[in-house]
Amino acid sequence: MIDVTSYEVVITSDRTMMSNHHGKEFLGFLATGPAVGLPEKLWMWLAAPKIKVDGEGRPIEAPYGLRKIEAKLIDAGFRAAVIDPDHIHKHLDGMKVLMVGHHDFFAYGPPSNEWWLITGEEPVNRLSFMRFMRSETVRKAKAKGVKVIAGGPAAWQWLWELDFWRECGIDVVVDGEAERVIVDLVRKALDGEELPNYVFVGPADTPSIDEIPVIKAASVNGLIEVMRGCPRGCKFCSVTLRPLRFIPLDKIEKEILVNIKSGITNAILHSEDVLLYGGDGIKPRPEAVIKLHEMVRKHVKGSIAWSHASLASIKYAEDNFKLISRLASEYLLTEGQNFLGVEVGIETGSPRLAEIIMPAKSAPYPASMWPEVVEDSFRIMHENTIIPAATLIIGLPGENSYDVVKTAELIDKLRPYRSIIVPMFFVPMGVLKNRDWFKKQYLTSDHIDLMIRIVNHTLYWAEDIMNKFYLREPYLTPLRFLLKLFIQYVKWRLSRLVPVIEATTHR
Amino acid sequence: MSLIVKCLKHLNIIYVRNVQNLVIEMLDIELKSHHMVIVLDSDLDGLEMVLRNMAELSIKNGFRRFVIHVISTYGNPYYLEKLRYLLQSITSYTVVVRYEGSSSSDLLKLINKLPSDSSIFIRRDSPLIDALKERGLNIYLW
Repeated sequence: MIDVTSYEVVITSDRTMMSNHHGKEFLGFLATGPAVGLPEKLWMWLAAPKIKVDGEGRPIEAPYGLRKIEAKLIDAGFRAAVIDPDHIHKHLDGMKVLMVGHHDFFAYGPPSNEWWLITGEEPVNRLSFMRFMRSETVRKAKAKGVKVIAGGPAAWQWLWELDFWRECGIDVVVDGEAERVIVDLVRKALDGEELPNYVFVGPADTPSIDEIPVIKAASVNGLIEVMRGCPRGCKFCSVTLRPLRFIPLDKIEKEILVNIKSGITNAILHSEDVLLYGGDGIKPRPEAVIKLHEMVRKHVKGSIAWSHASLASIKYAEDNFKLISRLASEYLLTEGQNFLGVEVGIETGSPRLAEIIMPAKSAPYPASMWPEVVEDSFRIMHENTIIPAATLIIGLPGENSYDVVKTAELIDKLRPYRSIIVPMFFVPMGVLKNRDWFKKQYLTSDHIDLMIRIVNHTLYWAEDIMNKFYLREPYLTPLRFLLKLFIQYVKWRLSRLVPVIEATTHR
Repeated sequence: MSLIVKCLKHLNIIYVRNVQNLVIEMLDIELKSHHMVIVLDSDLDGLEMVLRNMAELSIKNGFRRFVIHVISTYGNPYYLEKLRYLLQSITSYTVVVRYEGSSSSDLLKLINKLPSDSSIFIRRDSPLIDALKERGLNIYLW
């Protein structure tokens, strides 16, 4: 029997979350799809290989959200730790509370639900999570009276999985920023008190900067939060319901040092819009953004990535301050880094729909200029070797065929710019969270035409990105080979599918 | 604030005093909440009524937190299916949902524990409605 510290609170997730995705965050997206053309085990290895753990089963890197919860509970005096899902059994004796978090428990979020709809097969993140919750260890834990708390950005999905909720014996689901509630909930759980079933943390209970703890151990691929909330107010987004808070530089620095101490040499700056760090409303302020990058580069010798940036901020920052070129040349594209990856949101190419659904996304430019804002910022990114992974939402409430055609036109205009574009079906979130989901039967021939254009764009640039930028490290050669094979497979499938679809939709 | 209540607060146990001087343990986040009881023995047709009540209480009394106590024959956690649309419609407030049982005695026990200004939402022809009569509560019928 291995002698391990007894943790009364064990925080975990399934393998698709508890992985560093070979050090390439973007590969984690493979876990949102079903295993296409490959055995599931090989697909899982591609998307989410096992992570290094210590003797107690604590992962060297763990999802940032779980690290925050861990830190909050440790600060409150609990014996709590993030434990790898394969090592939970080591803590069965001492465990009293099991906390599970996920970005997409049941694959209802984007883009998982879309791959599921298109292929008709369950994505591996769903399969993996459900397998974990049905594992012997979790069942044993429940049988001995361990309280189970589920949370994270996908907490709402449990409301659609009540049979599974019951099967797993979930005690409480927490939806929203948990810092203000989690200590109290865990204390009550440990004391054996009656717990509520569901907690939705509203804007009034979002934690202040002081209530947000500094992580105690490394996060996956060095991801660290630089701000929370977003001022743009897009109706489809849940983040925008929360107040905007900038994490102070000293706190960010502490977290970078935690990661570096664990041997993580890269950093991903997490924010809904990195360029709005310290900003003036929706206008970037160059001094604050430069100070942030200066501090990060002082410590991080590997690559720096941005989790998200808005296209309007990119255009505004470059047009007014040449900020993008300056950041790229002075802080980002240095010796250890030849490109910068970032997620951006196009969502629609229709100014009409943009005005209704995301009127401030293009600000300070008017929504009527949205397609130009998108195109200009794609050009700016291309010129500065920034590679965006862009999302686009199909089936937004109020969308009509004019909107879909405008979006298709925009996709054609973006062809010269190196990028990955991912279409996503509308999932009710944010202010629109009580609206209807986009369903397969709502797909029109315009949608299909749009999706084909997007896939062609992405396949074209994916090969270029793989050849010049991505997975260049020698130890990643097998992975590169498999992904190239996958791209060829998708091309082949598409070449056979398109004529059939065209014949069907034009009939 | 009495010394006893101060001591209890220090011990992180929050109490709500009700008309019968009974107390219930609550989370900190349930402090300064308005309590609502929803009797769910069919689809929640009174959704708009609940949302309107929340909005009114938020404007009038500044409530940003609501605790929804559910009495339902659907059982735990299946009652949440009937409450799903309501929960998905709430974006501005903190909401805590508790399952409190299914019978009229569960309902009476619950009401005895809650503050007297709690709102109660119940179907007009619910068999549990008799249990609420003569109690002078804020009852909303749908």
